Amino acid sequence: MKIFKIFALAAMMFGMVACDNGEETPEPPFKGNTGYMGTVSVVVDGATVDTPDTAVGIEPRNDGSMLMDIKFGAVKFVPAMPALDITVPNVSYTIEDGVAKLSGSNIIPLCMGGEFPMYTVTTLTGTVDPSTIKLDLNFGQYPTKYIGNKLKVE
Amino acid sequence: MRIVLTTILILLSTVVSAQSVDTTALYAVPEVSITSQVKQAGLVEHSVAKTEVFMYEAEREEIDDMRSMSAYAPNFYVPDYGSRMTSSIYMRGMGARIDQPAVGLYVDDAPVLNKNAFDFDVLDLRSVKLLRGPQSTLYGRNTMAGVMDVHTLSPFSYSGTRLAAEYGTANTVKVRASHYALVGEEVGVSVGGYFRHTDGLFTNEYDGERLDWEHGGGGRAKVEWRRGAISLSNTLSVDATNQGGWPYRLIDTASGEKLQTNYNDPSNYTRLSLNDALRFAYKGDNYTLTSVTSWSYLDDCMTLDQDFTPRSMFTLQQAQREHTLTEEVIVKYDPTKRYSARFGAFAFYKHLNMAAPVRFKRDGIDELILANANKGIQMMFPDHAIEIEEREFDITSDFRNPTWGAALFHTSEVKLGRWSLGAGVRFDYEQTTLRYDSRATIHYRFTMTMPRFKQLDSKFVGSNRKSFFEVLPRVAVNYNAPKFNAYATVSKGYKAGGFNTQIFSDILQNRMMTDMMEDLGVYLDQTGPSYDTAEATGYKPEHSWNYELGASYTPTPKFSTDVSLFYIDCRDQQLTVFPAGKSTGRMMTNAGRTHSYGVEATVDWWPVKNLDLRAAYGYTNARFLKYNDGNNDYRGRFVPYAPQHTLSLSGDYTWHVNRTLSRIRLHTDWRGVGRIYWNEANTLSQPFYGLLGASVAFDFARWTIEAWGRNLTGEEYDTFYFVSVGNAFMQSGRPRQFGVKLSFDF
Repeated sequence: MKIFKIFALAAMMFGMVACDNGEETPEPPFKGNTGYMGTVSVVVDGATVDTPDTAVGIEPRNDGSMLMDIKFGAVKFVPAMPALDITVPNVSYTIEDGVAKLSGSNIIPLCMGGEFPMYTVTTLTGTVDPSTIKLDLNFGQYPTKYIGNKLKVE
Repeated sequence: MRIVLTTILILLSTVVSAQSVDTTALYAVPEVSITSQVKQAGLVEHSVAKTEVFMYEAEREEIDDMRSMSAYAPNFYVPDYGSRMTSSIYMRGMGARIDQPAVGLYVDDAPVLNKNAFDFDVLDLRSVKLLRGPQSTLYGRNTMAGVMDVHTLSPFSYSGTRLAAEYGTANTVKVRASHYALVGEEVGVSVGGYFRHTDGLFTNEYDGERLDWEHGGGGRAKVEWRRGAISLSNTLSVDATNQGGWPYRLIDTASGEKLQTNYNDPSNYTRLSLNDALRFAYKGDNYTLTSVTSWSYLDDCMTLDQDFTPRSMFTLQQAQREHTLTEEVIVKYDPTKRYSARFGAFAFYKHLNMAAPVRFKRDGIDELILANANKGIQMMFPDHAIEIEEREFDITSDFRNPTWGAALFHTSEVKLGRWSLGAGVRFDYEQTTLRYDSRATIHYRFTMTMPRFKQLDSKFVGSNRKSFFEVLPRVAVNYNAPKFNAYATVSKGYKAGGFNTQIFSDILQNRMMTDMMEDLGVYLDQTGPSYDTAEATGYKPEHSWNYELGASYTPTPKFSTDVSLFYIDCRDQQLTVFPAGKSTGRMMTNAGRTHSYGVEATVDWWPVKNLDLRAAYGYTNARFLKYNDGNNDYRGRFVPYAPQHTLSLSGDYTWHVNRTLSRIRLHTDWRGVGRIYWNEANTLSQPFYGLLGASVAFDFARWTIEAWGRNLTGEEYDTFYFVSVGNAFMQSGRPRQFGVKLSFDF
């Protein structure tokens, strides 16, 4: 009987903790920094230029601020330009039904060693679910979309 | 200078009271060293193309170093370029512009393994024998085109004192003094020294100063002991050099005109070399045992304006320290008159430490680094650029290169009447390791995003090891009649592989660019070749098969001639190439396959008493059979830098006058070389040219005064071509020179 009471108490405590978490911090679809591989599509002079095999990483903050940095690896907006690593910092997100919803505007990205106003990000929206990421944003004058699948960690 | 001249005068003044000695002993047929005898007898002595010069002829022809044998020996060419550090040797279409040459050098039976020490003055040269064609069976590494075997005067051949002083064009002064003596019947000692100075023949338009000045000197001490069947000798020699050099002329790409030498950074070369050789020989009843143990030390430093322009692009300082130990033991076994054999073992170890920092200056930073880095970036951001804070910075490169090798060799010879059949083989193993540490630190920024400069460290550190095992056979058939000798040989030659240390500056430049771009998160499309790999630091050995027919004919003591025909099939021939684009280094590459065939002939004729005529001609046709450098196919093109023809004509006439003025000697020579192609595409070349020299000497009882001239017709010719930072350069040959020489033997 005593054992049953202890078990019941423990179960109640676990349930309270679980209930508290469920109310304040929904479980995000990612665990820490996560990488994706997909296609970036940039509209240049009315034409869409697709660059497959483009890596994107998200790095959520650990301070409970619901902000993340999104890192584009080796992105080209026009074929003749060198590929660039671009970081879009401080993108805010919310979590609904296990999906992170991203938003941001007027964010100055970091590129080539510092802030890069030429590619100021506007109207950023997107989602991150447990397996994919979708982004829609403007890098300066370049409307950009990205769809990628989560990289499997071996 | 004044002290030296005063010393000379004091030394010369002692001549007046000198004892009378028989100087003719100097010029008698020299006694050959036992070691050379043991090594070369049989297989080499009668079955090889060779040019041999003894003391009298060497002094008459002014042969006192390797370079002065150029063209005198057919198909042998040692161009005069750069400094004493550059001893590029070409023989029968084979040779190497950088790293080790294809011709080996032995001085008093000890090998000189580093080509940086090849170019020195031989004090009292007794004999020099140039063996043409592969000698790898007996001499091993880096002798696939031939061997130069130099011997100096022995106190057992000559006793007395020798002095000489020479003055020539450009305040060129040469002084030598040596003394040879026997101490009792068993011990001979000699000691000697020399000094040289020249103001130089070429002027740098940049500052009006002479470029190729030089001060140098050296000496040799020899002790020999002989008792019965045993002989033991030790020779210690030293040579020190401090010189300018590199009179390179930029070629105007538009007009093709050679501009005057004009560069801004100081360039010089200093070298100290020490060599000690201990020789031992024992003659038994039917065998002879010889041993040569040698140690050599080389400490040199080259400082160079590597762009050779008035702009401040980049400089190189390359300092080396090398110790080398060698040991060779040979047993010659003659059990019967019809059979003889040699068994030999050779081992060496050398350790090279080299520091070769390349200093990039402002123009070089802008053109060689930033221009490349900004090329792609400014397409996107024309108003912004990458900047480097430093006015100049160093790419340091430190190398440690230990190399060791061991070999066993054997030759057998059977005599059947006038026929001799010989065969030999050498098993040769070598291992070389390069440890490299190349680094650079700069501070950079991208003007658009980085308000402050950021430190960037780049490095290329690692090691690479190569080992080579070679089987080097030689087969010879010889027919030897009293006035006629003929031979046929088949032999394999081998030149060791190595490392391209001169490409490390390029490698680190590439790495710096990569590191900087990665740090910025910028990825440029790769254009042009990349040498950012350890593999680029090495090159493979070179091998050849040599097929040769030769004959000599001496119908009378007043006429002798010899001729040889050769065919060489060379695989993986080592050639120097300049990486495409604005690169700063150069590298050895294995050219695929080449062949070389040709003919050599020498005639010595004494038509009348006191008149001596000599002619030596060599023809080489060396072409690529297979060579594609990735951009161009050079199949069928001539191998660059090696001359197609060499021709030497000389004549000597001697009047015997009276007891006071014993002789008057007139000498004239003409040496021609060419055509020499300067590049693999064969678009640039030096046509055949000839240099006329002459001298007149008055021999008194104990002293001689001689006046000489070189390049008397003022022939203008080029000796070297290369490309640096996309610019092409030539070096012109030496102009007309005159001099007078006073020498004493007493």
